[in-house]
Amino acid sequence: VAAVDKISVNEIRDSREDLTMLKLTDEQQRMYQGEYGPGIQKAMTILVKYGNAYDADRMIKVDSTHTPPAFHHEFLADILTGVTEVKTMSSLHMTRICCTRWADAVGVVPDVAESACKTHNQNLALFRGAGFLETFTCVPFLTGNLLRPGMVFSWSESSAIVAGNSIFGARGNRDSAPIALSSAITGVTPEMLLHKPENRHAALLAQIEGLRVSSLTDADLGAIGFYVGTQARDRNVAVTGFTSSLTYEELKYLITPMAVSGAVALCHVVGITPEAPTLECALGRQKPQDAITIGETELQQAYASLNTATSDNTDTVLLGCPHATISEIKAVARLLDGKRIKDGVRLWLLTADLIYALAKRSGYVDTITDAGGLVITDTCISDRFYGLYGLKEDLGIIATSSAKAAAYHTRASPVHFGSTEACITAAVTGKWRRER
Amino acid sequence: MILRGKTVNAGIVEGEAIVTKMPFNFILDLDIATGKVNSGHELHGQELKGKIFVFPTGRGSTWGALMAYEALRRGTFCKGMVCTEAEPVIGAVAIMLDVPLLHRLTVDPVEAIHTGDYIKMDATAGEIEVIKRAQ
Repeated sequence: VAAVDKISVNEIRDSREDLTMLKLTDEQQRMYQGEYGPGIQKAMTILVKYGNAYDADRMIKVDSTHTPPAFHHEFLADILTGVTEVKTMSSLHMTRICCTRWADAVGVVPDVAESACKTHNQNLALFRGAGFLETFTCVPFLTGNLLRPGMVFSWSESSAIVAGNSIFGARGNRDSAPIALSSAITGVTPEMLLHKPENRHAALLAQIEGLRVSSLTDADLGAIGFYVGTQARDRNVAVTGFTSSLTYEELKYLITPMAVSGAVALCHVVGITPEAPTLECALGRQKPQDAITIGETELQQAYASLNTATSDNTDTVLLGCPHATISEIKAVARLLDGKRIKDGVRLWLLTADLIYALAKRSGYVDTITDAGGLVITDTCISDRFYGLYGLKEDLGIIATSSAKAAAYHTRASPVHFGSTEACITAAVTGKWRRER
Repeated sequence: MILRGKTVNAGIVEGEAIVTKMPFNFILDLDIATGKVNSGHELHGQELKGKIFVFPTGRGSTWGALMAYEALRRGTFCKGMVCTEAEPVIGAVAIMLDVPLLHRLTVDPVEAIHTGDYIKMDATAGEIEVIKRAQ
């Protein structure tokens, strides 16, 4: 209790005199000095500290924000004090499974659900009052929060950040929750790191060699990304070796894990992503700091670290990390059409509620449900301590085609990692057939 | 030994160092209930509570700040942080929690500082004193 009191009184130390490098406009200075109330002042104070830490010279307009709803309620109430409308397009990240309409279907502990939902609903009332969109997804760009090349975004979701920079050519840093929230409240964000064109070149060159790129599965792409992340740390990456274009889904599988095993926020896929028409463009006509090759050995290494199950049994198949697109849901429905998931095996496919509506109308949800699967929205299957919080039953041996989900679950469960097709076969037979 | 660095979040603290050369994530690697590292991280089983945490940078999820905030409220978080280069998620953790953080030091802190060394950290002045552990 003592620790709690100390934080709430002294949360953000007054540091008006610390404003050394970052120049504010008169309007921003008024926010910083508290003329618009303590909430906006707190948000601007966070952004000033953040900007000073990373050599920002000024604040710039932010075009889009994406914020997790899971703030401690007191912190959220303080920072949203007096905030009647966010100053830019702002969406919300996913919530806990026990707070969704799927709670009964997946089986959550009632007491746990009640307490978690109380906080969720209290926070939601504040977010709704301030004009945040209730998207509850990790793919905001598929649910109305669009990005175009050059737009500035402040998002808290590592997979969406690396997608926003790499696939859409927009500009955003690995902004954690308080930064995205503060940017939504003020409408500005400090200009730093990946906002600046000179910081967007690749430092690590990853060359795919000796692999038949046309026959790589979704999981193979994820394994490549997972390996690259271990080598990249927080550096920008350029990947070469793809001979034809990749879909959004293929790019998603490739780049998401780079922000799991590493802290990559920008990956140029040469010849495919918007800022990398050529290798020279991706590298900014400089020599890369490091160059690595990805072949069969590196692929095997990633598979080995993500495949931790020793038995070939499968209890739970988890798909949709990041949230499945309509094309992925359609593909799963086609694979399950006329089949029956083995008794006692779970198949959970995660997506955004907006995409669910289209999948339902198109008949895909019914096909998956008829086979014994469950399409779930608004939450996360990867994070067992947040997304899957409050489940009654252990998920047993997990199978997934998401390298991100695999990496998170290996912490506490045996995991099979392989293609979506292998996952569907495992759901139907209850047995895993290892591909690599 | 005195090291100088760039302030991410100001403040004055001192304590024993816990050092790793592996990037760290406050949601993937830290069990907020026990304050112990619980993952495939090389610090597995060790506590950050009350210590000065010296590590190269972050990795993975951007959710770190929210989980670290819960750890702070439960009293299981570290006292201060020193990074080689605090990628922005780590910077946001320090700012939200108001925990002192320095990065971009004159020498790489994960090389110069060892677990068990005593650290006097003045993140306001951008300076740390490293008192080597008795051999």
